[in-house]
Amino acid sequence: MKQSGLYDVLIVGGGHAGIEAAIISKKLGQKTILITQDRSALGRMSCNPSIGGLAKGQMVREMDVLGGSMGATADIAGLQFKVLNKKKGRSVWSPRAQVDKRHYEDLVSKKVLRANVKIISEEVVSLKTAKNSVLGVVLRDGSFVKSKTVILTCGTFLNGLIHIGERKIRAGRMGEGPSLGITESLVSLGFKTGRLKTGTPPRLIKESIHWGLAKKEQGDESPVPFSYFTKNFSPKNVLCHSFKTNKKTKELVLDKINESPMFSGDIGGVGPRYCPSIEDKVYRFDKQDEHTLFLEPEWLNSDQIYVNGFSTSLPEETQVSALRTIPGLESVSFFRPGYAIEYDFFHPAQLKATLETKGVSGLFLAGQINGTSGYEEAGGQGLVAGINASKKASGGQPLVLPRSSSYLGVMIDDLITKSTFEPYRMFTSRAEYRLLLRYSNTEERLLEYSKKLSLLNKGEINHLEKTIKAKESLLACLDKSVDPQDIKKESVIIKQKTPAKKVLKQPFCQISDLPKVLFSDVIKDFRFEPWLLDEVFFDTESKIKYAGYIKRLNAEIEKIIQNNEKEIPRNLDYKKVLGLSNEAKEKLSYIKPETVGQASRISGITPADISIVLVNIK
Amino acid sequence: MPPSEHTKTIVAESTPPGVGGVSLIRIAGPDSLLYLTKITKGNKQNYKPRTVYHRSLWDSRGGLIDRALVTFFKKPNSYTGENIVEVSCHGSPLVVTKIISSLVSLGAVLAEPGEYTKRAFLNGKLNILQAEAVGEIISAKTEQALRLNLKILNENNPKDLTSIRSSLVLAASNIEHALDISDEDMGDGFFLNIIKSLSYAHVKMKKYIKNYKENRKHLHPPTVVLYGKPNVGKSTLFNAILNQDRAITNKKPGTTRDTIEQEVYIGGLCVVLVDTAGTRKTKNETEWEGVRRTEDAVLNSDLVLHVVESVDFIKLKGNKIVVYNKIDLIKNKKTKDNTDTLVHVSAKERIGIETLKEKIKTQLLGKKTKLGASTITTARQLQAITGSATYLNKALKILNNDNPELELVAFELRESIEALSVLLGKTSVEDIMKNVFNNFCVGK
Repeated sequence: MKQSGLYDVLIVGGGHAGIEAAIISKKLGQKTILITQDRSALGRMSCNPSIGGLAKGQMVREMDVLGGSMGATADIAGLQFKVLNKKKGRSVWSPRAQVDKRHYEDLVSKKVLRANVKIISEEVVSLKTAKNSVLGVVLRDGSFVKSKTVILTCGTFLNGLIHIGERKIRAGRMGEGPSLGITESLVSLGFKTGRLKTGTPPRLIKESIHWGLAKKEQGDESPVPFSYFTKNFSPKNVLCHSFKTNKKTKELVLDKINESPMFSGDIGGVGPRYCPSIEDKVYRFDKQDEHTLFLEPEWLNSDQIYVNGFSTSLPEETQVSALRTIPGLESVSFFRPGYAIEYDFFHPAQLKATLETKGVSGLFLAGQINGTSGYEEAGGQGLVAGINASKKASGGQPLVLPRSSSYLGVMIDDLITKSTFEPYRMFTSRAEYRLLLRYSNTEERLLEYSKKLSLLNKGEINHLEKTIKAKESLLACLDKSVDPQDIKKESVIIKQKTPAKKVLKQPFCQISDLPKVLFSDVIKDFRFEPWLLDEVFFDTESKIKYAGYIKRLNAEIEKIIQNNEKEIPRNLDYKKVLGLSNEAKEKLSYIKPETVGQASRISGITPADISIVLVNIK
Repeated sequence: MPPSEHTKTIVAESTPPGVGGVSLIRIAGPDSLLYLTKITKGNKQNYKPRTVYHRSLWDSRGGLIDRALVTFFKKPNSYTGENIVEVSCHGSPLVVTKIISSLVSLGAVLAEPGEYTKRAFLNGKLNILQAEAVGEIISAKTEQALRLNLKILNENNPKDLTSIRSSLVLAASNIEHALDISDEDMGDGFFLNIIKSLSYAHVKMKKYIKNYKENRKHLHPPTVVLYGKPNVGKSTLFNAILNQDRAITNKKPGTTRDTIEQEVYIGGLCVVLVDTAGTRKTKNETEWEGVRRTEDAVLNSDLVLHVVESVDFIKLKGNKIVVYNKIDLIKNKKTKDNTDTLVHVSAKERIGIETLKEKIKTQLLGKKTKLGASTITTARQLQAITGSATYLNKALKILNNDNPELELVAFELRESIEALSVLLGKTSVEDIMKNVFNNFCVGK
């Protein structure tokens, strides 16, 4: 058996999780190797040509502060930037960008190369372990690659099976072979596996669409980047388009619905509820005739068009005729049809909060293999797994993000605590501390972790400390009072000299409505780019307007923290604990929570159960 | 609420301790049928569920304890949802003790207060409101309290409250959907629908709170205080209303020094009747303290019976009935007509006492005896529903702004739902359990 030298971190897979893991491991000084079936597909955006969106945009920002690369890459490859949810309340505003896929992949490849990550194009077929510790991986040709830690980021490739109508193709993505062997290798080590399904819509030929009939979708006039470190941000603002499905589309899809493997029962895996296929949408929302379809370019001036909102596994002919019911798409033709893919995942309850498996020391899992969906979810896990594998290899403190710190923390805690039976996608509603997790205060929430774990360089840390300081100075300036005649906006009314903070509590008042003298020093001292200055203003307003809520939530966090971090020994045998209900015994034995806090978040576990556990670990 | 398994078999006397005609002993848990067969020296097959058997009971040394009626209830068709055995033995403390100690020697455990109802709740036989209702029924002092709590017990599912909760959950889901999934702007219809359903829920909650406040006087016995100068015959009247010789009476003024309380039923209404020391200026320290207590009692009363013996000038203030006593002493016997707040009686001769009782009842009920349909009966329930309504009100306030911050609405709604869930026992907070079951006596 051939054998290479010893690596610190070995990553299987070159998708969004894999590249984040590889880049951060290298940054942390680890000897890193990335093994992928096809090195030309690094960072491939296999589905939608966009990054960010509701709750996901916040995660991209969080990765940026924790040394991740997705945000900065998207800022360069972005074709149109838009902050979503602007009409719905400031803590759920979410940045999103339409992205040039080719440009994005190209940038990723260059970044990985520049980071000096060793890459080999091979297929990993099994894992080698001894005494519940990972030793490395075995490749298709039989050679063994030795590493202190292994991160599996295999995406949808594990026993991947593509469905288009009744056609079935064994594949990881369209045109790429599946990975066979890894699942079996993990199962033999005692890991529990399941099947999930996800889908992608068809790609249309640009010339076959009557664009004149589409609704035009504009980007923001003052765009906001994902990365705090993006300089001279002036992205393209490419126009996008949307169409609406109608009654005829619905009738046609309903008529042919049994041709979809999801409905005929051919697909065993469970698909996501929230990114539903078109057949799901017409079936479940049968009162609704119209669904919006966004027609997005796959890259700049792309001749291929992605149909956001039309994910499907119907036969190709049905997909075509359904789209042709829409005015403007009467003569549409395809580059390739939409499809559904079924793949293996591993129940994430088998992971610690560091994303290391509980069963095999040094083995980490990240991305779709943990049952998530989405680039951002995958990238976030890859980053955390990369950091923790590096710390494991070099003997440092791991990164465990609490729920109150970030969407990343919420995601990982949800994954390891709640059993997911459908692909996990991030939503703002999953975060009980949503009002604290704004994209505009990401650096305040996470900079301390980055500093402690050396995830950023000095210049980056200085930059973030500067924005934090600017916000503090601005907040202090707003203790000063304002005269009624100095306020020009009609909807803001004060009768006498009033502290600026109090004026800002009025619904329509923004800092920019206040006299400039109040804060001109801040502007002068800090010299931020316009978007960042806007954001400093915006977040300071948020802090003032939401002060009451922020206080309530902070009090709650304070209360919860006390018991939360108490660790539960791994060898605690719940079956022998007297007084626990059978349900509690079963759930606690399955999830094996690491801390009392995690145990208390398992559904069905009562405070009474927790007291019993507490008594037993004293 | 998941069905939780109780491995222990519990036993307790369900009737009040002491001598009586019959005492009931209840055994609940997996081994109850086994214990029954052992204590009756029978076979398991001998006991068909829900059938009464007359059997001899034996202690572990083979001594006869009693002949008793025994009934087996097979799970899940029993009060707690477990196997239950009920033993109706002769009402002697000695017999009861012997039976219970025999069962304990077989392995049964003495039940804690309220444990049967707690198990019924945990096994999903009762919801939390019903469990509380059981406690309230046992301690019910008024017919109305009994009726209200029986009504709750009869509702397998507190439909109204559950539907309020569902409408909040639905509104919250719609808001989360708008925040997290929908790419499209919400039209006016979206807000109107949510405001409409939340306002409706709020009105319903307020109705609960209002009804609780109205019903409260029927749930806990009101206090009626006898008040007046020394020697006007308050204690005599007290005894006359009770129809027993409870308080010491004497011709000498100032006989009553301390307040005396006694529960009495007046036309089906349980009231606490309080006799007090007569009020006058005094230097005697004991009497002075008595007068102070009288003033306290008046302050905390629901109704004052101001007893007089002559037509003094009387200010009518607050809830008060003037009782003109000693009409037997009036020479011409020509009494004035009674009104709602003035009654002529002779406590000594027991004249006019029934009329007085009627007036007391009328005053206390305020002529309204109809009970509200939306019913809650305990302070815990009131607190939960008030909390929920407060958060809901905050949510509605935000929704009524221009451009409402939906995530703030969602935040308040979550709190509101949480409060209501506590009321419905949907979240199993140990506090609920404590509050609800600690007030039970053993055997219920």
